Amino acid sequence: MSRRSVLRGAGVAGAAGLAAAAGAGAVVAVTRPRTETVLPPAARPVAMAAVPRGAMAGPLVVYLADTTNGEMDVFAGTGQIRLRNPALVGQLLRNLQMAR
Amino acid sequence: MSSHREAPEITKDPVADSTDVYAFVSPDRPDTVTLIANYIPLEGPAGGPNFYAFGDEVLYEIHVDNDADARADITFQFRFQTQLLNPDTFLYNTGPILSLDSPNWNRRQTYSLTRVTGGRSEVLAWGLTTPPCNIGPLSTPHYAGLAQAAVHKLPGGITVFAGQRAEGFYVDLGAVFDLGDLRPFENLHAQYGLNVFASGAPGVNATAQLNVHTIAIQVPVSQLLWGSPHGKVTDQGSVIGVWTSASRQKASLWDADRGRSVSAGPFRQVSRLANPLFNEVLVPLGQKDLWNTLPPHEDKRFADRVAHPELAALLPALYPGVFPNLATLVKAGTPRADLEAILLTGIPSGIVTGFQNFTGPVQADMLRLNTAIPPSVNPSQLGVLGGDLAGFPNGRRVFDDVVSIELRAIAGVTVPLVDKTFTPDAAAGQVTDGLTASSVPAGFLTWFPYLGVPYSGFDTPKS
Repeated sequence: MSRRSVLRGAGVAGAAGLAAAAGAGAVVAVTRPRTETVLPPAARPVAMAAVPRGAMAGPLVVYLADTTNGEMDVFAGTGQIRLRNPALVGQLLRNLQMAR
Repeated sequence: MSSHREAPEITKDPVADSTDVYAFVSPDRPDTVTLIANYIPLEGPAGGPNFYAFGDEVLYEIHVDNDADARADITFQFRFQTQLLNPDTFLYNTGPILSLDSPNWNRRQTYSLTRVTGGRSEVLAWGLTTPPCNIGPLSTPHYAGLAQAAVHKLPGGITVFAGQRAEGFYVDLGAVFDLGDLRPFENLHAQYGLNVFASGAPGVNATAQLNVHTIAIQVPVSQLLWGSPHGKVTDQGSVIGVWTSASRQKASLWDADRGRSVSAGPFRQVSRLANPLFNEVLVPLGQKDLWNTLPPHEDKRFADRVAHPELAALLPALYPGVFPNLATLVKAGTPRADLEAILLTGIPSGIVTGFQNFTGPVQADMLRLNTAIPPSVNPSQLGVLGGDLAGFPNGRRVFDDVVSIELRAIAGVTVPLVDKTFTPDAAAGQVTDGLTASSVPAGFLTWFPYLGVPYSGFDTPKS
């Protein structure tokens, strides 16, 4: 499957969801949230206690909402950040391509 | 139902599905208010081997607005944690469970209670025990006492309980959802020309032998109100708005390699409830899931559904000639200011003698409780409609006949509150699904947590 066909598939689906649960590894290292970029918590009337110590050691989920611009949502603990890293996304897509 | 499986998405997520909310001045401790939120609809009592439990990944909340802006001023958060003592057996219990620390109880839950006020979180308690489900005479003998041991008294006069209870909401589901053929009046139904019914029949309580999971908290009234004048019925500061919500973390996936679900990210609301039947009956199918994600202060966008309820137009069509005045009202397109007041703003002073539960102009679905109205000595299941100002829609008590109250209100019995020239149809004051609080076999308790002892798996259903 070519990169073009992957992207075309993503376009058809509206959004290519690539969710990765990781306890450690390169993806974690690259996408670890920075405190200053944390988005506001839920828009709903939900106020949670501070993110527990060690939360970042727990499951971390990355969602590629749009592969064409390299934008991804990273979920860790009770936080979420939106990152834009076309290079990383490109690398992931190339890995996907090789895995097929 | 009240709010059981009321929206398409939440039917797939029972542990996060809120079914009923109650808020009332505690009859046995009138200096406190009891807030109850039920989850997990239609629990068949014999549902082993795993029975039922709260969701460890779900954030359960009961919200209180005390300054009339439909935004939470006080929120009680409940988080559950499941412990499995012995993973090498398929059994929920390996012998009789005689106490909450019984080693025979294999799969149990504890929970934490956090109070959020003004954005500040305070953990009030953690490691609180829940009772097991009611399994039967060998597994859970002396169940009533076992469950009562899970009522926890906390510093500050707060009492809390979380666990299985008997379903207290009574409704003839089979009739309501069979195109509204209310059994007591089924012979008056148009019946689509099928002529199935020649006479009326008693109602059937579809939830009669089912359980739910209850979160209940009793809080001193003084801790729920703020600085605005309160204490008198006429004080707006005496009124609180109450609702519940359940939220899940935004990202989740099934980690098949490890046999576990993974959740991460901020919590987002997946279920909400205040007034019974609001999302179920008033909000159209295409918007029910959206409604469940929104906070009450955004309910203005649904106000038209309250002002022009679909059911008000259906009643005259389903029961030809029975609701002529309602039919005229509907045909004229007259907005139902009575329903808007009852469900979205509260009833202002001067409408019902000696009563108000007005929270201002913000339209929001909340249970509105005037905490200055004491519990009734002789309560009426019809609440304010029955002349009992301590009942629904002044908050909601566990035994209130909310189905009949709301049916009658929608049928037009409350229109004269805002339009003295309107004469309700005779049937409007009688319409019902034919059930009363005595249709609940388990009955109700006169003490916290007020909902009855859950039905046991061994005894239910009866052969």
